[in-house]
Amino acid sequence: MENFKNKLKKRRILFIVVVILIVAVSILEAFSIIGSSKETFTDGMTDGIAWGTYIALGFGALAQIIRISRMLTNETMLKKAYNRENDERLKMIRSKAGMPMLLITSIAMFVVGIAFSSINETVFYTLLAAGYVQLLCGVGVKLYCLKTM
Amino acid sequence: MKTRIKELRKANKLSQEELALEVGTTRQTITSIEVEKYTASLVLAYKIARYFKLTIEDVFDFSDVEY
Repeated sequence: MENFKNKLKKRRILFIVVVILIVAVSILEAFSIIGSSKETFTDGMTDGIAWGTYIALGFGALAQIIRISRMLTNETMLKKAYNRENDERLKMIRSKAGMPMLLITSIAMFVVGIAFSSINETVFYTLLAAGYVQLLCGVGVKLYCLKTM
Repeated sequence: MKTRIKELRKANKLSQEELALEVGTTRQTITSIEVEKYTASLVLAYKIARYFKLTIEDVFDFSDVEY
């Protein structure tokens, strides 16, 4: 259990770094120091999608920080989380759904897509759509397996 | 695979959640095993049987298994 606690603490640090980075990027973008121009409708749209994705990732990371902090102070919650993470059935379902690799590649697609948004619009839309479809497929398989297994 | 988990749980006045916590799994997995949707691994079957102080054969019904 101590190893799991240390793992959770490391995860929390990682999420804190993510939140700090997103806040920094958001502040810079709010003052138009970075980010694409918003002169045309398409520019505004790519910028809006990028901004929305940052905010969503930030809130997701913040929710994880709160969840992990609560787990670390509550033994029952910690045990449940440990069981959930090491549960053989859930492990099998996760591997069938291609997790966590699918999640990692989707996030990588979003990040690369956003980074390329100011350079090439088509690449941005393609990567974003591919990332979302990939995630959706993974979630679909996971839900199906949860229901049938 | 048929099991006696539900019956043993009831006899020991134990909820699925409590059993799951004791054997290191989730409530959903206990439900799946009870409704025969999922077959427990050897390790989990052993943990469940050991918790009830029984053998694996006493908890899990292997009569349907083909050799």
